[in-house]
Amino acid sequence: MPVFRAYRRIIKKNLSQLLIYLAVFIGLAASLLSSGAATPADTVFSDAKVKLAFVDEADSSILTEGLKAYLERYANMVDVKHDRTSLQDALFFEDVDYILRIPSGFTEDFMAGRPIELEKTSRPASFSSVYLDMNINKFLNTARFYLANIPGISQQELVAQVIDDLSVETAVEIRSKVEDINVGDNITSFFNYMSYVLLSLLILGIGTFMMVFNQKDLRSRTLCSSVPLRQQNMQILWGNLIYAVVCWMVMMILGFVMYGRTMLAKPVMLMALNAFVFTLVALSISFMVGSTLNSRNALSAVTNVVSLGMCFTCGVFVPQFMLGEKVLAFAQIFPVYWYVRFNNEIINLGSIALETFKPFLGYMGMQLGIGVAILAVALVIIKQKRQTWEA
Amino acid sequence: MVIKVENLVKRYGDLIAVDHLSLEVQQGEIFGLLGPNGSGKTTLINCILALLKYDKGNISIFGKPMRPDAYDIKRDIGVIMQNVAVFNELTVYENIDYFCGLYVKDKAERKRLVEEAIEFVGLNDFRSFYPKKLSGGLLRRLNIACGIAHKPKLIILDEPTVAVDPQSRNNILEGIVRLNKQGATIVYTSHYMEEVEQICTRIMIIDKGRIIATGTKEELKSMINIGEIVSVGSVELNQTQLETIRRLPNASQVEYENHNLTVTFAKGRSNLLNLMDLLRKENVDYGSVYSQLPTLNDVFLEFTGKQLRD
Ligand SMILES: Nc1ncnc2c1ncn2[C@@H]1O[C@H](COP(=O)(O)OP(=O)(O)O)[C@@H](O)[C@H]1O
Ligand SMILES: [Mg+2]
Repeated sequence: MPVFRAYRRIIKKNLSQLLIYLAVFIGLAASLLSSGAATPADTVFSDAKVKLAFVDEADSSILTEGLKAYLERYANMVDVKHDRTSLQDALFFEDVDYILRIPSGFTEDFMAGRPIELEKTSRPASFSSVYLDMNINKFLNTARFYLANIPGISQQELVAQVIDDLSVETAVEIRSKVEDINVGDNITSFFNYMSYVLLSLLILGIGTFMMVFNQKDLRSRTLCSSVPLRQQNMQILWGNLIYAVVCWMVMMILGFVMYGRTMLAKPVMLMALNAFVFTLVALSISFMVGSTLNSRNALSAVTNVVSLGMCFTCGVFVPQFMLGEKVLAFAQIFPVYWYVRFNNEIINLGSIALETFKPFLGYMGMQLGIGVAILAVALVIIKQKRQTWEA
Repeated sequence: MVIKVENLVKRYGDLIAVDHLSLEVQQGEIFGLLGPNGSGKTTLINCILALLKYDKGNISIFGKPMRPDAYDIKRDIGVIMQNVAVFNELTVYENIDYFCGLYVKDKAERKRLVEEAIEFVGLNDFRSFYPKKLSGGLLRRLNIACGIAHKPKLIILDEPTVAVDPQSRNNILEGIVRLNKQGATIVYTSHYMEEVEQICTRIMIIDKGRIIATGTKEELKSMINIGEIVSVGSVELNQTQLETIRRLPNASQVEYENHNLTVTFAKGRSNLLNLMDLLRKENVDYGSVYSQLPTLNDVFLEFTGKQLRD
């Protein structure tokens, strides 16, 4: 099993990168359990605040100032000259960890609801930079939510609402936790957050291996060998499957550590099943990413965009009921939407009978359907990219 | 017959990279494929290895037709690609183990073979290094170790010495000769004529996908009418003297530049002696004299009108 063996070794060498995502998740999950002051996630990460260079290319607007003020909670702002060389030097000499560039025209585009693009440069992922990614997304998504729902809202009102919202949200969360010991909400969030970490772990791990293995020269060289192509592909497939299942198992073990016997409750076991289905879908997404990309940097960017983007639009970090109708309608093309919906609804289901369970089968079916579609696209892409003569 | 290629044609769009080319490689040879960059060496090798589909022709190895799924043939071939193909994520040892493992299942056997390969290319001190930490020469040696660890009967090396220091180059060339002595048939491509002359038992010169000439180096050199090339350094000559030199028997080409004189003689007797006599008679002083036999570059030049290396 030479290919499979190489797979194992390559994953092992990338373990530290992968563990970062796991640690972020554990931090988030721990914040669900604890009922301490402020957002516990803040405490988890406050020791190592990112040194952030906030580069506003347009002259600052109320919106960007608001974003900056919000991010100051999670990062230490560093002043650096805004030309490329100074910024690169600062990154190199570790004066900054994270550069966020706001392109000119950002505020107009954002307020008009046009797609926007922030440019981010950071040194290899760390807990705090991943956490900062999440907070930037959180701010913008909440803002977009208000923008879509309150037509004509001014920048001032918008920023005020968002900041208000993001601080209130945590307070509410904490109060509800102290008052009722309803594990339900809690474990649902745990499972919902899991979609983020499963996506990140799978895209990063599987993407890394596929990209390494598919480098043109390495692939040609392996094709010259006496291991039949079909066997090579089978070994890759097994490697991917085993990796995915291991990731899922780690999540389940974490669940047992945090929630003990609650994990064995019927609805929770069904959530675990749902998570398994989602793992398979994440596997197919990762397979596609791994067979289309060629660079490591692109991979970590795509990991962030895909996992954070999907999770925000589909109601993992911001509850689904808070999202606008349009957003939710759009979110239905993502498997995360169906995954989250399953979790949210199953916990409220009194008794689970065949009849009441039907829609849930549908939710899992939607996920699998999307997964199969993505896999099909990936296979077409692979076939088109092929440069060698393969029997 | 180890390799037989008949009338091979490979096109990339309008470009004919291999143009009706045939060749045969016999058991025990070190077969050299010499040609400038872009002459189609890599394309030819990739066709032979069934990595590329070709437009026309037949290829057989060990007497059987070569195809992408001819795994029994592939088992006995060792491949060293032009571009180093190793995993940056794996150490020297793990890389060789991976490639050897593509052919050898048994663990103990593989361990022995990997150790032998490491020893063979002299990477013992670097076994736990990652490829990024190796110099160009050591990286090439690793690339070779990965190709030969499973003891193939046929070894195909595509420009294995590009960007390599002289010490590694000698190590590699000696290694290839040793592998051949141990019984392997070798196909060696290069655009360095010195290397090909040094180790190959038979040489094919190609250009633009076509065969220019084939033979041993002696045979190739006897195909052209150059006996020797004499260079005289730091010499002062006037126009009349140059004319006299041009009229020497067999002198086919005379160049005089920056006080350096180069005379190309066709085959004949006492060419050097004639030139020396003349210089002495004319009372001309000079710094140095040396005479060269024709090189494969001269062969290439004669057939194609251009230098092997620009
Ligand atoms: N994939 C390709 N697509 C188009 N043209 C190619 C491709 N590979 C090689 N060529 C062209 O084919 C010719 C032969 O290239 P190659 O076999 O690499 O020569 P060599 O190995 O002797 O340097 C060159 O002109 C090269 O530009
Ligand atoms: Mg080449």
